[in-house]
Amino acid sequence: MAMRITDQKLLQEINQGSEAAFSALAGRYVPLLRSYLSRTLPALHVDDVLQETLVAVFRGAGGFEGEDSAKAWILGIARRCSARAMRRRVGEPAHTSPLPELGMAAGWGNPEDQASWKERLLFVDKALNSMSAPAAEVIILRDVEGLSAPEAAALLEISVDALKSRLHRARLELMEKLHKEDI
Amino acid sequence: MAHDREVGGIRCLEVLELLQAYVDGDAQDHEISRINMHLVGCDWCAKFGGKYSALVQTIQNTLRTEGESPLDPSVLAALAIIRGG
Repeated sequence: MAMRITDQKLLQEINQGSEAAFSALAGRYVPLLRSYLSRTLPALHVDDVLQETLVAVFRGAGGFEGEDSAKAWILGIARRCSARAMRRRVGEPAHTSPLPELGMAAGWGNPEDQASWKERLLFVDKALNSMSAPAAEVIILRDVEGLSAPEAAALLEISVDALKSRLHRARLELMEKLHKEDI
Repeated sequence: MAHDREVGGIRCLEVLELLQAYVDGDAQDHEISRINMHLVGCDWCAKFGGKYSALVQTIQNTLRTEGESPLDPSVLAALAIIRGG
């Protein structure tokens, strides 16, 4: 059975100029990158930023530290390209609404609303797409793509505690959208 | 006004604050014990916590990106730029 070449090895080969290694690595990460960018950018910009990200991966392969997660490293490049395209700051401030207010909007303290929750969860993809980019982003990095809290925090350039707080608030915001069927 | 009552030695508002850590397995042992006791006696928080947990599981189980895409046009376009210097 053929051994799968690791991302680290492919990045080493890309750093030597291997287009084959680049195509292999890009093939692995394009679906993830397209998913991430589609949820955090207007559709108009997705292809351009995806292409820019891939070029930056090729040109920056030598800067990859072997012990890091290639997924987090590549998503970090995508995030910086995305921020440039939208001229927004990397590491946007978290929402500052009080937590109880967010919780109540999400259905906290409303024991009557239970029966239809499973049905509403069918619309989670649509609800996620309707969220603001910073809120959607933290859910995508942690829950959808499975980055660890330290990886996601490093990528967003915030502390792990701030990451967890932002994730909690984003999930409550998503619950609010599903709760109100505001999607 | 938010509902907020003390059950099992912890208030609803505190449970709401700790819910992310509890669901993600980041909570401390003493926090888990207090939250568990609270959830036994507080129907509101138990139901809300269940919905929160179901949401996280749904995202993790249904939205994760799988598979490869070797023929995506973006790869070819990027290669053209790279070759062009």
